Amino acid sequence: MAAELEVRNLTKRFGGLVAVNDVTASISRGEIVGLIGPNGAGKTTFVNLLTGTLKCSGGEIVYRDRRITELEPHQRCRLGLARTFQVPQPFIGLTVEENVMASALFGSGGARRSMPQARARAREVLEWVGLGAAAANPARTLTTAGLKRLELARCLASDPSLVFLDEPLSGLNQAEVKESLSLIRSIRDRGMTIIFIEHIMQAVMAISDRVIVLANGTKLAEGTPQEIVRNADVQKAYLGDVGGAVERYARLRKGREAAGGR
Amino acid sequence: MSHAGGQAAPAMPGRAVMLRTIGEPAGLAVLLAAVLALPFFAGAYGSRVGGTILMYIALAQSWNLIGGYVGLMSLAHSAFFGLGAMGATILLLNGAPVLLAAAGGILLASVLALLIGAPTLRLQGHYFVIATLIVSEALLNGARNLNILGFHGAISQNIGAFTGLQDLSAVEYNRLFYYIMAGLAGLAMLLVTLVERSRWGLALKAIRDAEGAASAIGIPVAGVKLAIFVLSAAIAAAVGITSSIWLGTFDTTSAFDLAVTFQVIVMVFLGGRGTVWGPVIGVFLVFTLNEFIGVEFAEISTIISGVIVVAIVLLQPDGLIEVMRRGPAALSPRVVIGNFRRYKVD
Ligand SMILES: Nc1ncnc2c1ncn2[C@@H]1O[C@H](COP(=O)(O)OP(=O)(O)O)[C@@H](O)[C@H]1O
Ligand SMILES: [Mg+2]
Repeated sequence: MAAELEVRNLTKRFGGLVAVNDVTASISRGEIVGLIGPNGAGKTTFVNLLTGTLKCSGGEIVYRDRRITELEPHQRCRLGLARTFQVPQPFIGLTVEENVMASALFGSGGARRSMPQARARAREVLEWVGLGAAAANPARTLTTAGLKRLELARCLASDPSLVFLDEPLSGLNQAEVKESLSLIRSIRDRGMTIIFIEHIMQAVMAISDRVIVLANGTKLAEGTPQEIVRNADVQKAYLGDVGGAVERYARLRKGREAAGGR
Repeated sequence: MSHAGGQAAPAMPGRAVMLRTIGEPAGLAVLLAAVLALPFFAGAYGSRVGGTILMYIALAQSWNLIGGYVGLMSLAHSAFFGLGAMGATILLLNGAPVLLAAAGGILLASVLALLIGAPTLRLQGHYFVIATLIVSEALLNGARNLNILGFHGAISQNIGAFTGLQDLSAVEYNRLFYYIMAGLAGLAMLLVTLVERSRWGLALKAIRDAEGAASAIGIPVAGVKLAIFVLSAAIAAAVGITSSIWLGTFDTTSAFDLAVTFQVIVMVFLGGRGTVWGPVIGVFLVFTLNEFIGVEFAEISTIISGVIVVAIVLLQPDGLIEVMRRGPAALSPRVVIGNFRRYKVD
């Protein structure tokens, strides 16, 4: 399979903190790659480096045989990279439809579109993500789930070939998670390559062709979901955390009982 | 999950739409006719007042581009007003014809806007505001101390004798400048309207609301901000040039007066920033308030207008145009309290 994206020795330092540490990875065309890791592992920073939101401290990014390491975010978007933000960043002074139109006008397919064509494209994408009924509403009136969908719609309306989804499921309820997962599959069915950040393991395992695990900024493991689940290092990185929490809770309960509480 | 391409139902051509399509151009035509006819009824004094109002409309709209649409609170507007006027003055003093001098003044202000904007527009929020304030002060002081080509920044320069307009009667003279100001106001209105209706309006508002997201969807944020900053400065310069030639003198302190910037910001905020008609409403509102408050309560007029401004900005930040659009609902306690709670300076 042709490589869609090559990442070589990518590093990002914030002062003394190394948020992304010498990460090398290759993404093939048409894959869904799950990017997992504990909170603060550097997942969002990694995506910020790939989309140009942050400049890297070292390393190289190659998209379809083209070095994009120095390009600005809008230039990368026009080449076909698009993203959602973990914390939604709607254009709150615009309507839902206008949010998406802006992307349809300036993204990689934008140069070809007139305003009416961009509006039609925005409607189409909003139907796709299930926000069609809210098109005319001000973006500031959306709920959390609505904002997550708007992030997706705005990302997709730029006609990307490689999309980065930063925790699209966080803050959603069970039913919404299921809907979003099938939406993500439908994005792949349209021929896009997806890098998908999530820290709910089950969701990632259900949908990913391949999983990359980050911990403390370094790549801890990489493989199929089955391989990752069995990987001892990953279990430690994740379950170590869970185990600690269970222990703390047990101690807390004991303490309360000793103090004569319920 | 539905993959269907959503086809929008065509809008019903109801009464409101018909009223809009007929009413809007008709209203605009009447307004335009009134603006053009005014000097023939109002005499020299009327032309002076009318021209001053038009001048503020041009200034408010040009600030609206950068301050209202992109949300960048530039305090450098009067600096560009002054730079344009100063550049034109220097050229006039050295024998350049009026139009060439005006072009030179606009060029000077635009080049400086480019040089100032490139570094300062990278600053976030309050840092940008402070940077533009410092730049304004620096330019004023620089201009005061400038002595070149017969120009002396420390004293008022008489330029009336160099424009070749001294033979006009008072009525003709004021009428001429009224029309130039009308042209500049019309140009600024046209620009704002074009921005509002094009992809660039969406780009500016996107940058205003979430810069990171704007660049992530392909908007060249830095370039757009710089272009609008320079365009806004060029209009301010053209207005400054017209104003000083009309006056017949160039005085550094009043040409670079920061109070003009504040006045203009007040107008845009009162009327409604980031809209086509809000700033126009704001200009008339401020002129009316000044007229009324200035006469009745001369000593405390600044305080009263300050209080009114703060109240409107806190309680209905979308300005008077929002009140006119939505009626009293825009000032209902629920809305007003909500606005007050939500208010933040961006
Ligand atoms: N802009 C920034 N400045 C300084 N530190 C940052 C910045 N962004 C992220 N970090 C730090 O980098 C580390 C990785 O953060 P992040 O990429 O957000 O993790 P994740 O998305 O995996 O939860 C964290 O320790 C975080 O505090
Ligand atoms: Mg994150």
